[in-house]
Amino acid sequence: MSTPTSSDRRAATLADPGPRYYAMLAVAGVVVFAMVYSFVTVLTQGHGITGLHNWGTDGGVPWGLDIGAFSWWSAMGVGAIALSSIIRVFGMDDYRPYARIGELLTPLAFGVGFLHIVFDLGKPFRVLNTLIYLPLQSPIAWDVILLAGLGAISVVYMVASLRADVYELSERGALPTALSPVYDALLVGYEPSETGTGEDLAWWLGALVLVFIPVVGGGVVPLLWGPLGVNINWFGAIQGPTFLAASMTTGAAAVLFVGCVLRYAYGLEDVFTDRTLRRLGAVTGAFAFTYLLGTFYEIQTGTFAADMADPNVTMRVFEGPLAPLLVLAIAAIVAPTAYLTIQHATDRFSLLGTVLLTGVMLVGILHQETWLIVGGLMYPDLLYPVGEYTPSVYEWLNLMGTTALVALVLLVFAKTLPVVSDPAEVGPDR
Amino acid sequence: MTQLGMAIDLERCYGCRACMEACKVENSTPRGAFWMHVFRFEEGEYPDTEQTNMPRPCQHCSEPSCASACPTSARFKREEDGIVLTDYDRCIGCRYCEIGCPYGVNYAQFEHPEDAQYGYGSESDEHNGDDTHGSGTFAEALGDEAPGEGKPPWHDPIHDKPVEPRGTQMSGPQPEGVMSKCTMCAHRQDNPERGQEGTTACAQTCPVDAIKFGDMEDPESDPNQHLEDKSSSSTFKLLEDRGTEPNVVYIGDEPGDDARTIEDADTFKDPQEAIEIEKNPPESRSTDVEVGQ
Ligand code: SF4
Ligand code: SF4
Repeated sequence: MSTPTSSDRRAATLADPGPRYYAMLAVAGVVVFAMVYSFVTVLTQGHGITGLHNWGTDGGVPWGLDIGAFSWWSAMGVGAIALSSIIRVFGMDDYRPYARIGELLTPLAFGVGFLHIVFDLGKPFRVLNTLIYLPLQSPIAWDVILLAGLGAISVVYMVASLRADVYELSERGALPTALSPVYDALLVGYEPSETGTGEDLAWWLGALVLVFIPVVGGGVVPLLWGPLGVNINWFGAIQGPTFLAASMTTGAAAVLFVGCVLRYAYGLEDVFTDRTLRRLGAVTGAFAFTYLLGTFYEIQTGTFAADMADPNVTMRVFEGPLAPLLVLAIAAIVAPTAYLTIQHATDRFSLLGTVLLTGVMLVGILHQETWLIVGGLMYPDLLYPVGEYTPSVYEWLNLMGTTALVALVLLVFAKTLPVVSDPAEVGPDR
Repeated sequence: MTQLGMAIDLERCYGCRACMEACKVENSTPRGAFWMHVFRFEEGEYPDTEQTNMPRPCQHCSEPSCASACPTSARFKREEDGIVLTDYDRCIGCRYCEIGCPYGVNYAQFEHPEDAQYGYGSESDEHNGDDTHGSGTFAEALGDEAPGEGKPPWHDPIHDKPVEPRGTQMSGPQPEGVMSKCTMCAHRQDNPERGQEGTTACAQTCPVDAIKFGDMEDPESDPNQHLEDKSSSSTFKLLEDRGTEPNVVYIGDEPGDDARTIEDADTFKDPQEAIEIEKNPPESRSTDVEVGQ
């Protein structure tokens, strides 16, 4: 095979789709449809058909899989954009293809995270009330403002970083003509002569993101929660750093996962090289280790639990039916961490092993996040009965649906946008 | 400043739960929702055990963590009398208030309100409305003369009146997907022409007058007078360490660490089980419906 030019690499995914592509598209479409069905059903029949109930006398758990999935997706968004910004701001050119994945993934992750909130709300069509009546004295308002702000930045950031590649590909005629108005819109005000303009803008946006992330990623909420005398006890000091660690882990794992899949699908061994995938794997493992530490502290101090929780909630979860689920969640994070680290230490690389274990890690984090939420709402204080929660089929459909939706949009992106960014200089494979 | 609240005398309360029933009737709360709940618990080792009953309304906190958690200010504290209310027109049903309250007094409405009402949850027409509201179907029960513009008969139209300061609906049974809890009978306080101002259904119904309702800032109010009369008894506020500054004062001993409920609360209050029982009224009920264990 002759050495592909960088333009070829960028256009690699744009080639005519084969039957496998259409098959995946169809499967994703069906699952998204199932998610819509679930939303409509819950809307017409009430949330009584989900696994949720009130805690206290009702013996239920008021937040479940949808909130777990929301945490997971928003963590993924925060982590993916942070990773992408680090790569850009510090000029880690070998990793630019990963930065591109992060840029594309972030708005999608935020978008579907928001969908889970909509699914969860008792009155989904009133969701904008949070903006209309935002109570500025509430820490949650700041959560909303900062996450919405990051979501907005992520879209601008994605567009800014895509422009140069879109321009080049459209000049080359590699992009589907049917969508030319979209590309024209993307390229409004783009000056090809000033090479690097878009890149500069992306650099600054990346720098902005890096300043913003520690604040959103759990800095502000605990900060406000304490001194302002807001008496909601379950957001404590450890929550912030743990959310940040969860974000970096989920974001890195998701980027790694998509990188592996792209390499397999389009034979991009020289873009997503053994060396970069292996290193990113080790970095993901390091983040996961920090995340695990944070969760242990949360569990140990009981801060994962909500306001009405039993003071001995830590003991209760270890004795109760959740204990095996906890062990499973930890194992699903520890095993991939060990694998990715050892793979790096021993200088070996397996694409299949990496993609599989990264997938396991992603599921493990989702499981852990959901487990922490449910566990913190199962054991109330004040002589109330222990709560029960099993996600209903509707909640599962929501989760499968948002996952399929992200896959679907990525599949469409693959045929319409430069999903593959070129590493500036492809170094020799170590 | 006025701060409505309660003094609840645990030395008087004998756990009849009439207050719970009175609250349900007054506010037409759905199945499974207990804006007032009475904990019945025991402490100590047999045979030296002691039983206590502790009614638990919303504490109408001075620093309500539920309101701090609410992302829309649907949950708020009414300045004029210190009642903590939920604006049914604004609430998005996120349940943050429920997560943020340490007392477990919040009830999200997960069902269609009619389906969640007693006697109306059964899908079979045959038993719809039996036992609790006479026989006949839901539609028949509604009839032409349904009060409150087509609202079912269990619904007191007073709850449809807008509540100040926002002029929106905040009392009585909430719509589907929305949160509610004890309002300290805001509709009674706001409609003096009904002659029930300064009372709540629970306090009024209690056969041993264990619940004293009134202005906690006024030394002459019922609760403060009662607290004075019983100044030799110990008093406590629930979970005071949480910083919510509750406005319900209990007279008696605070439940200790070994307090355990006498009956398993959820056995009696699972709405789905209640629906099952309505579908299979006692004489025909199959033995696989477990009650009371
Ligand atoms: S008891 Fe709970 S719901 Fe009632 S005011 Fe206090 S925090 Fe809010
Ligand atoms: S459920 Fe309603 S009242 Fe409670 S926090 Fe959410 S919006 Fe506010």
